[in-house]
Amino acid sequence: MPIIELFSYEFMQRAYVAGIAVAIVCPLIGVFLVLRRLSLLADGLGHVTFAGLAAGFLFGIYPLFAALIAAIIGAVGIERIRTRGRIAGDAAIAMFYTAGLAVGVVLVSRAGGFNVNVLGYLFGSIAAVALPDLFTVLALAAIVVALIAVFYKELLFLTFDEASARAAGLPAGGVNILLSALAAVTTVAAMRIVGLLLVSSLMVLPALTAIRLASSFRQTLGLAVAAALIAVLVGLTASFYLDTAPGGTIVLVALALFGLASLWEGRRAQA
Amino acid sequence: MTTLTTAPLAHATHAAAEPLVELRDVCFGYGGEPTLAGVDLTVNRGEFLGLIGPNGSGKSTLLNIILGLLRPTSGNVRLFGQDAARFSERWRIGYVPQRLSTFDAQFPATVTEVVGMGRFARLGPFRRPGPTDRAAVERALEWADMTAFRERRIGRLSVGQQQRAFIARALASESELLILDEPTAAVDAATQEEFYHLLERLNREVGLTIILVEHDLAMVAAHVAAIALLNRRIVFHGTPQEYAARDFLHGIYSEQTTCAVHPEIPHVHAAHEGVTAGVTHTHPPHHIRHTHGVDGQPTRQEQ
Repeated sequence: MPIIELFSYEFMQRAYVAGIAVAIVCPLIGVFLVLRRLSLLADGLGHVTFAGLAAGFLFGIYPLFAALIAAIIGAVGIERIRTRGRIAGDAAIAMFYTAGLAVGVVLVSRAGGFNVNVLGYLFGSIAAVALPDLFTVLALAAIVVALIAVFYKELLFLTFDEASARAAGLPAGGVNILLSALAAVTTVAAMRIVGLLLVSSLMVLPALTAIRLASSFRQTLGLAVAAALIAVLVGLTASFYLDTAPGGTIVLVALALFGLASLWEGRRAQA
Repeated sequence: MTTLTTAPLAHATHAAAEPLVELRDVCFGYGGEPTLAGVDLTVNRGEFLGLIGPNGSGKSTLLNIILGLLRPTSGNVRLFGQDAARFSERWRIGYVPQRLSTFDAQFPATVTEVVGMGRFARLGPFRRPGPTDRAAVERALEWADMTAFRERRIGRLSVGQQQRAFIARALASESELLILDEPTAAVDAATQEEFYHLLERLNREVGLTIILVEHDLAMVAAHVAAIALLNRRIVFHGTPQEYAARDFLHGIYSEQTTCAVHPEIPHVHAAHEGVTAGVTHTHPPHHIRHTHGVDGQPTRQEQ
């Protein structure tokens, strides 16, 4: 089938639009997470979000809404435990990660088990992006992009050198919670396309790719978005033709881009 | 507002000394032996002070208290004449962190971006940098002699260049007080000299007040105008020459300690009960312990 016909399918149109929004927003958050050594936060949040989603199914709440609430609670919770310092950051994430999965599995089993609907959230499903979902994804993405733009300088300074940023009087605590909350919102926005279990890779891989290549921070953000856009567009299209799961296909493309960037950087370093 | 170009606020012309940092009986610690036990220290505008203390002397704690990252358990801290807890213009204090402890060499930011961060706190929330900020960044880059490296990634520079970039960041915020935490750890002697020379110029020509935190007296004695020795409290505060003279006299009378500081040749020799040790990481300086043990009072009062 020629590629132009792909766009005649309404579900593909919706998938592409949602995919583009996700490809813009995930790496923007991802760059900050990776540089703050919080790459696993997105993974942890994905699992906590699963608990919310399951609760949504069980109690008949709009799943994306239930997921959003759970994700934000998880984000703030992880951040608080992390900064209190009694539990190390990675342990705090691990705790929420497994707790989210456990609660999710229990609730899902009560709600009728792992059906196609649940799997669609876990692994992503382009055919399932209904119109209300699309609007929700676009709204969430717009909120995240706007807040990153507004707090760009605080996020940058705190990410680069937290001690100096605190000493200069920047509101570190508030900005850290904001970053976690934005990661939570992003997780929910992206889960329809790449799936909860793979959300983190769309944040982390393009960021890692860009960090290898860029010479400035602004360029890092730009390159990360570019890498994610390529991954999502190529991945979605390929998944349609190859009849593969879109989430996994997208992540494999992102991984390939990272591999190429590493090769290129290695050659440049030798030269 | 002070700017770099108009800033020769020559400290000498100040009739009355203007204290930028005032610490009164500052203590810090939870149970057990306190990290800081009654620190009294005043740093006036225009000073170039070497704050010297071995590891475990409470140096980092004191630094964090001055920077507002920690609150003292008791005692009084005033910054720029205001109560530290209420002091909100924190950008007036420029901070150059101990390099290795803070930033990630892989961080994809250019020198210009790093220096630009110096403007952020001053701008406050919801405001983006404008022409004034860019001009301040330019001036700061020139002062630190980093203009040629402005588009380079910070992690791909030498340690000495990175230090200059951090100085430039503090200059960009047009701080009046510059605090450097062991800035020359892990750089070679030539780079170190160059760096201290830059600090001397900033102190003399721009009128910047500087607190240079080091663990080794020998490293700074030739460059700073005054030194404060910290060992949970300030055990000496004066010029390096006074310190040398004091310890010399002390040595004659007690016949236990001989110590000489040659500002031109930065070396400290301390011979105490047959042990010879400079002020190093691992050994608390004998003369500090000694002095402290004799009367338990800050040595300044002893003179």
